[in-house]
Amino acid sequence: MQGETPDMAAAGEYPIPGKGLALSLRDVVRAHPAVLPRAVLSTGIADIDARLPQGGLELALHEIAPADHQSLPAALGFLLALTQLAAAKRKGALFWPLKRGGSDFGRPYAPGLHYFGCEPGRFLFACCATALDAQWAMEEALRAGSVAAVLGERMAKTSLTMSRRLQLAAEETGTPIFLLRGVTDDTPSAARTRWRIAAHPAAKDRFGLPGCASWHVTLERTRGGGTGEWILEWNHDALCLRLPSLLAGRTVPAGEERKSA
Amino acid sequence: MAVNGEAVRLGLNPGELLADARARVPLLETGDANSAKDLKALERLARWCGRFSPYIAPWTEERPPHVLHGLCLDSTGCAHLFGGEDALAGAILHALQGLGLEARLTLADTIGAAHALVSDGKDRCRIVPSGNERNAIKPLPVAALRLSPGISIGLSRVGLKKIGDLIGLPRASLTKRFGPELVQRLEQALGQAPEPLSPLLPQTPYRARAVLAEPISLQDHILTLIEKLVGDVAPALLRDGKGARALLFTLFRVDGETAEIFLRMAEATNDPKHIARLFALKLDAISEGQDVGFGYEAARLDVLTAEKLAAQQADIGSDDKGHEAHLPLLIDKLGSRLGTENIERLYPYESHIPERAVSAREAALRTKAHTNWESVPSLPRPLTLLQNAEPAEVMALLPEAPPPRQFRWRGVLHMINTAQGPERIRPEWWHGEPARTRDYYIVEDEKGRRFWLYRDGLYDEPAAPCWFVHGVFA
Repeated sequence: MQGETPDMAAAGEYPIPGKGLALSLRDVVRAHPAVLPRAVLSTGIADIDARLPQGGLELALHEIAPADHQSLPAALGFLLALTQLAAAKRKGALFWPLKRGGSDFGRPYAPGLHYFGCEPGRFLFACCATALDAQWAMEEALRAGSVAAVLGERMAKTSLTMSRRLQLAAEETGTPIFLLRGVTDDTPSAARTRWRIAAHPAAKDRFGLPGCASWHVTLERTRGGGTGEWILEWNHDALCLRLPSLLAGRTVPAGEERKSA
Repeated sequence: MAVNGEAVRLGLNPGELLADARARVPLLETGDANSAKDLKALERLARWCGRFSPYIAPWTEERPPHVLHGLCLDSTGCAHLFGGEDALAGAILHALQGLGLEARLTLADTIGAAHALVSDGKDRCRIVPSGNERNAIKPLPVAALRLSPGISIGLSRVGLKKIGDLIGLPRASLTKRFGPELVQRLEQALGQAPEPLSPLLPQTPYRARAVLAEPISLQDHILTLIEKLVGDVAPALLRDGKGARALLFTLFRVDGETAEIFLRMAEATNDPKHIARLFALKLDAISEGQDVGFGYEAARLDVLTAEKLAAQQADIGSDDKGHEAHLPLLIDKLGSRLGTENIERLYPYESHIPERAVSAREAALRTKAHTNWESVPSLPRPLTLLQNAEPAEVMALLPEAPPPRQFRWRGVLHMINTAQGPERIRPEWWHGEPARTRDYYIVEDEKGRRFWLYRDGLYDEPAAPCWFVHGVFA
């Protein structure tokens, strides 16, 4: 500021809209929460992280859709894998509102979650009678800021406004939320990323038994980032996503993985 | 036949035959007696009278030809709230009259005396000065002492018709002749033997009440009232180092109905703001179906369960504590709209039958995630389990090569690529169930979808084994 004094004196009482102001404006922009570098969740795969705008999954709304109805369990698996990545980094419960009566493939099974690598005791379930209740419950959980992550099913009638509300609530407290989308659901949403998951034959382990669960993962849409396709495996012992050893480091073009399987 | 005051003025008497009465008063309006409904109405009235005293017990007495219905209120410590006993009695009678009920009221030192005077006395409202009940009940018939009919008849046979006749007699001989009941009732009426009142409403350690000058019906007003009542209770809780776990808020409607809101919390709290917020959510949920009539004119808040409040560490730096402390608040909030029984956590249950290995329990009952899942062995289990195992049509099967080659489930044919198993699970024979042994396989089809398939029964059993899909893997 010392250096600017002569300029100001020269122009009378008004500061010159020059270097000083430009600098302070830049400072303001830099200090604004919207542009601050945020905490992100690394997927553990460099190639995927590179395509996400912040170098990882933002602590915000993400949507996961199955490629077809039969791939719903695979999509749920990928969703839980992401949840587990969040759960490992963050403290608190994992909030999961459920439709009353269970879904087409039954209800979440605690020993199965345990085997998958999630701690069943950390899940807090809420049985919701209506989609509106579930939406409300998710928003409350996000706003409470005391949960590690929220996961659930995107109800068919979730409007853009509703998903924006969730996205805002998630951003406010920095709580990630992962939603399972219907196969045919094509309503717009405010999600940061959208993934499409298909089941993929797993590599057999050395005993000829089915190995780690694997999925054909497509990053369909990212706000401010790229897209891509990968074959990913979930390692339920190391609790991490990884590329199958045979295909490591290679992006499989669409359609090719069927032949290789 | 029972009659009301109007009928008595027409010259009808209770106990008369209906046909006679109809003959004398042709336009007589009659209805069938329904004692169950009477009792329900009496209980409703008792709840409504909770605005006068928290200790109320409804009573019914058969005194042929009448059936007497009444309420017993313990006015200890309540009268001054209404401006003295006279004012309290006046308020009660006025309120009952407003409901269109004819009632008699007696205020006495003992339940027995009050009961005798109210059922056999002639005054509409009588307040017996303290210590004066002996003289007050002397002229009443012995039946007023709530005796079984046999004893009353026996007494009248020996010429003992008034209570005053009994008071002077030696108690031992009365007991010898008529059993202990007579003496007990007499002593209870005279205040020489204790008589407990078993109140309709639970006895609660902390309570606040409010009587309003004008009836209210708006949700905002009710909410303000709740906040005020919670504020009234909070200092007492704070003083005892306790927090409320369960609360009951009762609203008294002008026309004799009551509305109750029950609230249970995941963790004891005495934070008025938090409690009021939870009630606000409950009000939202119930206000839709609720008929407020002409509004509510009184309210009461009871702390049904109070628990010692755990000393809380203000969080300094540590993020951890904050999360633990905030979760019960979230559970409360969710529970108050969705129902606390719908907020669940999963706990392991010691059974190797897959569908029994989990028990879901209300999260509000146990806040800390005391999960013993770490000690549970991690067995290959599916992510989701079907509500009921669904039959699968299995083809190309050789008994010697157990995992099938393909199966049809929900109309889709799955070719099995790889399979892992069997894992044999036997039924819990100690429960004596006629279940069969199951052999579980994890199978993966050609598209990479994984299923938990099992064969119900063994090949050497007389009934052919069946195949089922029990769950799906990711």
